[in-house]
Amino acid sequence: MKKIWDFCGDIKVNFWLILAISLNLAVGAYFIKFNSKLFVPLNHSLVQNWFIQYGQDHIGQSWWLVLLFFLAFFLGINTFVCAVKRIAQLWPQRKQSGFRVFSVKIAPSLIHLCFLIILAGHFFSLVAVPERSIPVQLNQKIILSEGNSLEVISQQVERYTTPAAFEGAVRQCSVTVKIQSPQKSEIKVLRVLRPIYWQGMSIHLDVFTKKDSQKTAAPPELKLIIKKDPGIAVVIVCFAILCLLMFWYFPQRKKT
Amino acid sequence: MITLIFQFAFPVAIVFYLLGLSFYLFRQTKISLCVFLIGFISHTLFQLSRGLSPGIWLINPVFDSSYFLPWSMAAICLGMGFFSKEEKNKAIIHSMIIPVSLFSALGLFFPRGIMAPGPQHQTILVSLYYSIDIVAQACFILGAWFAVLHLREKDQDKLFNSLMVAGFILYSISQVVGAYWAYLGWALPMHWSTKHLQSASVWCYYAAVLHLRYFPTWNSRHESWFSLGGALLLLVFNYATQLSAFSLPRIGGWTL
Repeated sequence: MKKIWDFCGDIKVNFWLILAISLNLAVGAYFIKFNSKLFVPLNHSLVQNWFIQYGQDHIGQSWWLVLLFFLAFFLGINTFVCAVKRIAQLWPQRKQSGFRVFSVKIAPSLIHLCFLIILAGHFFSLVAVPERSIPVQLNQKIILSEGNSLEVISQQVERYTTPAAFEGAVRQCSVTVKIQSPQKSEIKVLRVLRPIYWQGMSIHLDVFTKKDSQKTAAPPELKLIIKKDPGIAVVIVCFAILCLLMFWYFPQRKKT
Repeated sequence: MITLIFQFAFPVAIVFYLLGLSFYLFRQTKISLCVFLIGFISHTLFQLSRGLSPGIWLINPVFDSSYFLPWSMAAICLGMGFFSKEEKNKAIIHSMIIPVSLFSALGLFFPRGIMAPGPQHQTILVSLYYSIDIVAQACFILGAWFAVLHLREKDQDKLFNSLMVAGFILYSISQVVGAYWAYLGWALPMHWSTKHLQSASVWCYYAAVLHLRYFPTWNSRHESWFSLGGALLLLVFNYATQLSAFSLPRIGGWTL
């Protein structure tokens, strides 16, 4: 048992695992570049569903994804054991070393714990948070959850009028929606990059603009993305904390 | 006036960078720095003119990697030269004029036009993401340059490591900003796309390299080789996707 624990908390294992993940992601980027049609649906479905529907039939192009999940899982275990071992080692010394030195020493473990939360958050989002992607149609009623619905009342497309070089290109898109709950009804404007948050859900407006959008007067394709992902805020906040910790830690490490 | 600067300031900057490089190679360090500084001022004017050239102020074109990467490298070179107190470090910092000139000249062969920012680019997060990401890349590339010098036993203070750490922190910050942008626009902090996977691959690679110091048998020479490997990975990712944009330099409307 101790051997397994030591192996799981080995820094060398950690190094090779991260390097293997880096290589795996590079290989994945290559496969996505040359098989984009296969991987586009992955962005809008749960990983396991995508794999059953598409991935298993194209195992030659999707094997790296399975490997990525395995490697990330072992990296998670390894990071956890490394952090726990280090904290257990440093905690009894906290009074002798003084607050500043102790803070510098413990910082990498806190960075690792933040990383673990990010990893877990991503995993949760990928396997447990479904997404609804619905093309925008006027007067269409969309059921959000029991008793809550959304209706698209109007849609607006703003185009550049100046400068001359940009004239006609799409600048911003928005839709006006009526959100109905058992208690009240609200009219809201939903824009690209400005989602609406409603009872734990986020509603995003996505737009597909063609490169020659300037030449065509046809409105761009719009779609609503509806998601209820409680982990996303945790992922972004932990990533920001991780950056702050690193920003503080590395100069301090040099001093000590 | 802005059109004139937009068309000619970048080639002028390259001429001065190359002149500076020539003086450096002939060991005329002071003249070399003065000429390099003139090149940098011209380059800065070009970057600003990119933002003003459409006729309205747009910040996104300022941070186009073809031109902003060498600008960042030049800024780091001048900044490090200005703040460095030790003469032996100053000598190797001046050598950065070589990669700066090289990458600036590459900018001529990978021209980038100015596109109308679409709905998904109507946020400050875009400029923030690209600017921080490119400065981080500049740190990685210059870190690799210093790694070569370290392998030749010229960078004794391991400046390559400091640049790599700074690059990693900035790269992490850019990933947070990028994740937030992606979330607002597409309800996902990370896409299964070539660009996102390549970024994650680079991040993991440098994360692995920063763990090397905890190996008892590894030394700074090993770290130098890994720093070189990281820059190579970055360059392959950056330029492999841009190869289709390759063209002969156009200066003031004339193709050379």
